[in-house]
Amino acid sequence: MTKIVIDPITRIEGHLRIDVEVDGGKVEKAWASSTMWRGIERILVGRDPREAWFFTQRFCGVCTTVHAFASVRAVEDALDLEIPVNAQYIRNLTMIAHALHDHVVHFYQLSALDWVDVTQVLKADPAKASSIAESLSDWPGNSKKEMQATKEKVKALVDSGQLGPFAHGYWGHPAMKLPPEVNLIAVTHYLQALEYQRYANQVVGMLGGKTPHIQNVAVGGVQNAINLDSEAALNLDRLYQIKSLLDKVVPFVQNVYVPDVCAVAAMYPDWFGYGAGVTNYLSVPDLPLDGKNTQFDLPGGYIPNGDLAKYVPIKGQKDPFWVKGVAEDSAHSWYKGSGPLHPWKGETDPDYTDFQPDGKYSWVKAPRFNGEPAQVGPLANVLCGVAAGNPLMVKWTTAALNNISTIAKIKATPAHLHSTLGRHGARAVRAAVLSELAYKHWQLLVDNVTKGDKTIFNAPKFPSGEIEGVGFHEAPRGTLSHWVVIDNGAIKNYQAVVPTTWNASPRDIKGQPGPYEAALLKNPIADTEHPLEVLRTIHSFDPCMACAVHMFDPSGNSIVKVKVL
Amino acid sequence: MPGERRAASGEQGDEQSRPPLTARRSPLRAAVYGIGNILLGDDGVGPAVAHFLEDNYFFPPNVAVEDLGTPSLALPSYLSGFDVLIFIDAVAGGDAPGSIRTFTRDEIVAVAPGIRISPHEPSINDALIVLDFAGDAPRDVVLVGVIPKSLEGGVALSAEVDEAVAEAAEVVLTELAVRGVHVDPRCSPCGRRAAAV
Repeated sequence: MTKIVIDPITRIEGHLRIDVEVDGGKVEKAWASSTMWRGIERILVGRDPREAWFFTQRFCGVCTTVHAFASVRAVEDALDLEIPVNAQYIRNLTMIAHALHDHVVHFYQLSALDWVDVTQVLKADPAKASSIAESLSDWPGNSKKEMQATKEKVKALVDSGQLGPFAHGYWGHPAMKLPPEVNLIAVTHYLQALEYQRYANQVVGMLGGKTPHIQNVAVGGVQNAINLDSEAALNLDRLYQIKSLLDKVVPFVQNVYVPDVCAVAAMYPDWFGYGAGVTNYLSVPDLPLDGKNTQFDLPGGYIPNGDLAKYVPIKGQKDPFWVKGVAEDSAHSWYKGSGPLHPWKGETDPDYTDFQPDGKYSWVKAPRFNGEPAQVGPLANVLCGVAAGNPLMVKWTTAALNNISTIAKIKATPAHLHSTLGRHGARAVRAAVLSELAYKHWQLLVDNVTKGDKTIFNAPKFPSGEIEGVGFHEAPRGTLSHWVVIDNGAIKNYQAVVPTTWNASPRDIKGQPGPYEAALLKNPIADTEHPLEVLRTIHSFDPCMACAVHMFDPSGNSIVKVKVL
Repeated sequence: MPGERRAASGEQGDEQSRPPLTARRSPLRAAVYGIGNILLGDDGVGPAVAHFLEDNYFFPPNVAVEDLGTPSLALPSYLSGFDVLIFIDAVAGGDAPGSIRTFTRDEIVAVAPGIRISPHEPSINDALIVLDFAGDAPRDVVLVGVIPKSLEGGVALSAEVDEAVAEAAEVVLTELAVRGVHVDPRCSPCGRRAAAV
């Protein structure tokens, strides 16, 4: 038995530590631990609920907008405050643009390199790569010239003796299996993704006033003044600038990101057999179509044990199935007590004990849905969408599975999605669905403002006494919820149950492991010194340990250490 | 915009210390980015310096001043298209809290990227290395680093680091001035703090 610890060692203590026990070349036990104290919700106690979003979007530098939206929704929910539909559409468009940016960045910049061997690019034939890529989609950036240019860039990098952005990869690892040409296609698209992600981010910036950390949110609506005759306000000129940015991003998502994920997945068919883990799936409905949050474009709900026939929809933020279902347990987390406690009653009192595999071992609490661990993220979102019969989710899921079936010469079904690769596939499907909905919500906004509706804000009024609210959002990494208790107009308690808390959850009071821990079990480990397979499964969740300290360390100590014990 | 455009045309190649910007006829495009998390004590010093600059000076349109927070993996999105990048960030080091150290581009890029677990880990160096590979990276990069005292949760800077904010802003202005970018102060009552420079 070999024990491997992957621990990002930084001078302020890292974010995510993974411990696995490997026996007979497979993971037999796993622990996910957040090594950083997450108590920043306490900063909000006593503050004005109208400014909470301004602080919450600083929880995390990657998922900024999502914490702003969840926060204002929580306060609006507590007040039963309806918001104007213009505000809803502007928020929706911002959320979609943010998600498109985030999903593209995640795949190309963070996780594609778990599957793509950059050094193999040197063996690739650019003409052959071009013809393969052109057989997969009609994207104009697949020419032989583009492929040749990428190959030369990689050659220059390798000749320089440094692998630049790829220096941290596990090159030549026995688990890398793509043909050289597919590696070349992927690196070409990695470079193009740098450009296209920027366009998505520009949409966020145009609507949000600035990015990251948007400025246009308010409890009661948005702060984007709408005036078709003013240069300084949201006018048709700006709306058409947004559309022209979408016209760049949407084809990239549909003709590059989706086919790339399908092609890579089809060439690693074994990985449809690893990484399922917890197959209870939770997602929440989003992209509301009315000011009261009763109709949504994206369905959400709960699927127990991977059985889509048992899907239970969540109807809205006030649905008791949702509100009463969530609790956090700290039996194995470094907090006092063990719970489980509902987030409105949540406590954040630290009780650090050092890493105890059978005791407390993480700063992350264990959120549970009706007592069960649940996986959140694009896979949960897509499976709920398919279970609900959402036409866009069904269309893109079917297209992706057909695509994989053709390349891999297997019969890919929704059952294959309960896996490490399924999470990547579902993220691409979700991005494609959102790329279509981007146009829909853009049109809804344009139609409504050209009709003469310029309303963007309904002023909140805080009653005396205590009120409670929950704001949810199906963020790029999954179900996010902010839970607020307001007393006489000031915040009394605030808890954010973030997607990574669900997925990186430690064991609970019943000993049930969280989704990361369960997904790692039985993963093959070819080389214990280079546990690439662990990274594949963990990266497929798109981990994001909120509230990271971001600091430059000139001594270069901010590296991940792999220890084999 | 009351701030007069006084940026150098980039064709003035007289200063030896400045990287060549000879191909550009338009004013050089500069970005001043404060990096860090304002909820984690002195990690918020970068954003604090960016706000101090915005509150106390008029910047010409070719100079962007932003509190970027902690963009990590999204950072490359903000770096393309500039001739000069000046970052302000908390930096680890043994000096006294509030001390300021500047780093050149080579010093930043020399820090090798590690294995990534989450999108938070890539930093300024990773972003520059990625853009170097893409052939799209700004050549002239400065990091104005401030040594923190405390990174515990909280929205206030320590007294030592708070005192360094105006000084770090002055370092940024000097770096801009060396490159021919001059800015006008706002009247002091308009600023969030009294201008100490």
